[in-house]
Amino acid sequence: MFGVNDMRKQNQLGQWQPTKAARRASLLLFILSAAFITAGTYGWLMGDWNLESLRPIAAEVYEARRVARSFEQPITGTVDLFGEGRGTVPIALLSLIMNNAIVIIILGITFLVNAIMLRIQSWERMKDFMCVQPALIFFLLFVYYPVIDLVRISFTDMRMLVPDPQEFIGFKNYEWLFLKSGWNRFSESLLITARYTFWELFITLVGGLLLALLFNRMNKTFNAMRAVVFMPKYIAVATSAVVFIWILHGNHGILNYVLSLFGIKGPNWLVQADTALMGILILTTWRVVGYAMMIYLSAMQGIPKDYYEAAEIDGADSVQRFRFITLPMLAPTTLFLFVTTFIASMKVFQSVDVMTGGGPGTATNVLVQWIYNLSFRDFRAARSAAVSVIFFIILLITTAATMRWSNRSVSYDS
Amino acid sequence: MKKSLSLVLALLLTLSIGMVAAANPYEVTEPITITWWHAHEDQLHEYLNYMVERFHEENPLIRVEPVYIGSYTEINTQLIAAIASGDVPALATANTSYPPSYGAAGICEILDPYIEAYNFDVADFGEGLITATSYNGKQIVLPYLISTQVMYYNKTAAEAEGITMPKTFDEMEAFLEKATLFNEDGTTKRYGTVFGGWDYWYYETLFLNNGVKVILEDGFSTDLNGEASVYITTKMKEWIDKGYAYYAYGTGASSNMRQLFWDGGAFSVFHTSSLYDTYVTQVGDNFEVGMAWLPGGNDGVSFLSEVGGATILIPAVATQKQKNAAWQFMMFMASPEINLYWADKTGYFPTRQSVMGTEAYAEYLERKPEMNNVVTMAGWINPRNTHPAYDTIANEWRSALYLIFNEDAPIQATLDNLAQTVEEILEDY
Repeated sequence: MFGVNDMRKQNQLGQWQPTKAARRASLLLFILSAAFITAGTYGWLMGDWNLESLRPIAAEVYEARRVARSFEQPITGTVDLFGEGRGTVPIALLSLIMNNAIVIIILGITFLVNAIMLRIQSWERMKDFMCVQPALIFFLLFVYYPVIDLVRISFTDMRMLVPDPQEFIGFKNYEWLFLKSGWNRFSESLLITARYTFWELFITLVGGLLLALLFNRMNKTFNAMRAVVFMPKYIAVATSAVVFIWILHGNHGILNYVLSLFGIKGPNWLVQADTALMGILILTTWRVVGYAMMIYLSAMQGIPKDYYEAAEIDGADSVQRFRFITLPMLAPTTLFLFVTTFIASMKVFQSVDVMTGGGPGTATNVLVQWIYNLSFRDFRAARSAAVSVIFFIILLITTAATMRWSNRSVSYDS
Repeated sequence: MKKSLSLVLALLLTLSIGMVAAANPYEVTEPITITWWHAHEDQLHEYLNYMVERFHEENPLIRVEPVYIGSYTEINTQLIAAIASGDVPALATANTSYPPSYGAAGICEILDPYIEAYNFDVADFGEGLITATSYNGKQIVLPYLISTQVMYYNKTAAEAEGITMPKTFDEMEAFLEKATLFNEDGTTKRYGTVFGGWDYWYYETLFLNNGVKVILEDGFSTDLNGEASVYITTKMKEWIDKGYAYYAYGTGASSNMRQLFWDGGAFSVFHTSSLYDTYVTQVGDNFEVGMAWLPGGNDGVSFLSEVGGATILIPAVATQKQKNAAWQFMMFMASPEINLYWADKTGYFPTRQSVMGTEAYAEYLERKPEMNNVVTMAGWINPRNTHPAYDTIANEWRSALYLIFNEDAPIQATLDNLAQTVEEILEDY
């Protein structure tokens, strides 16, 4: 194996240069990366990009795949890439490249980066980089590539029922979203999502804090009660949503029964437009306050007792101690809860899908529900992608703005 | 001589076997297990398993594994995902509303070559059903359970109170006035009827029979905001506001509506004929359940209804071996005997015309006399609209009606907005 300086040596002028072995390895990686990136890009242009000039070849690949799948045989035959027999390639290889284009491109990029690193970095740094590479490849493939592909799809006419081939239609989906009928539904959904998010944030932060203050006692009874309050977080959203459909049932629901004991006639929670979102928020409250309480509780345990003792000596009452010690000391925790709850609640879907499906009418048609309906009910995957891209940008901007604001306003000094 | 003769015979035999094999590439020649995704709930599994077992006895090479996926919508979602991944079931059940979009997308195996190879009597389904299950003249699915929209009503109360079911939309008003009962405080004690508002299928024909065209002939516009549509919407709204009718919508709407009827809280409901057995069983001895055709057009001659129920399809991306085995099961499911058995056990009605003259069919009608009211009108059952955007448009329509009926949105303005949205949707197709 290489030693510390096996990759680089000092020349007569005292400058560090790569060794011969490093240069050879680097050259090999350059060649490999060029081959992989070219092949991968070709496969991507032919498949995902649906480049017009490559469509006849792609059609041959699709047909060969269809026949192979239909008769459970391997893909056979060759295709002439450049005409006149100048580039005859097995269709099986081409199909493999088309199917795995992105993986091949990412591998090519990895080879390229390694080739450069071999030339300019020491072996110690190279080892660090190699340790990071698997995780980096994983993120590129499963996190960043889907986001990039989503943007690509938003410029096509992709429909769920007809995935291949897709045509590029420029900004038409965005035109529909901002200038045509998409706008009304988008603004309406955004408003509903914002309302939901506001209330979930309020419940999480205020409810969680109040419960934490209540349960901030270290004895066995409170430990058990804490566990009970936290437990709903462990139950699958879909399962609890089904139970809450019955709890909130207008005629036979237990909630309305309890209300009737106090002489109150409960509404038909999930069927009336003005109460449906509230119905979903009841489930949300049940699920999230326990979690927020636990986070606040652990932060409260970390506040030094000296502060309270000093304040008490100075004559501060309990409200003042809470206002001037607890609350500021919990600011980083509040920020954490704010950001994570904000992102999660903007993306609310499961409970809405199970409990109301976005209805009644469009009363609970939150953005993700609308995105889902566009894809799986109306089969408009490209429009769904356009809405998702805009939603992603909104989330990115609002989260970045919150973080920026918090850097100025939240003190981490404890 | 004998030797030559036997050689010629052997050659002829070999040739004929070869010709049969060549003539029918859809034969199943080796054991295979196939999966069938369906939407039939628990209460039907006993009959479903019986049919599958029967099929296994008759087709020892094929094993069918039925898998309950969920509602038609869930099957649709999962089928799309399965097709994208290339790992599909050999058979899937689909609601009658899906074939147009599936046909346009090339999702289903075209069945014509199979039909030809097996001389399968597709004409026995009748013209309407063939149209409903074809795309561009090609058979893409087979209908095996059909239903249509009906009104269930309390026959005991009808006879006791002298209530006749409305034949036309205009007769609805008088019918509702008679069928609705009020409490002393003015609240409704018994609704005259309940409109199934969670699915456009249940109210659609009230509009269509009175001349409303959801998609006009030009293919780009609608008259959902036209005079006839506004009139019908206004009348329905009026009945709902007066407490004559209830508009079932939102979470649990279907179960709420059924429960209301079973408990005597509604005189009649708009629902699917396929639930006849469920209604009869649930009502028990409380009263007799009647089944009537939906009110037709005010012209007195339009009694159109639309086909509902289940079709069965083979995904085009399945392997040929899967397709061959699936076709055998499809033929079995759509065979007259099994067709009638299924219909008898489920409450749907048979799809094969040849069944209708049989003794078994007469017995079936004897057991379910109310089905007579539907089968005598069967000629009015039409295919659903085959426009690929119809479902999307109908969902917008459903939301608009909800706003009008439940949220008091202004009728004309809401329908105008709806028309604009519909026309934008149609622009894309």
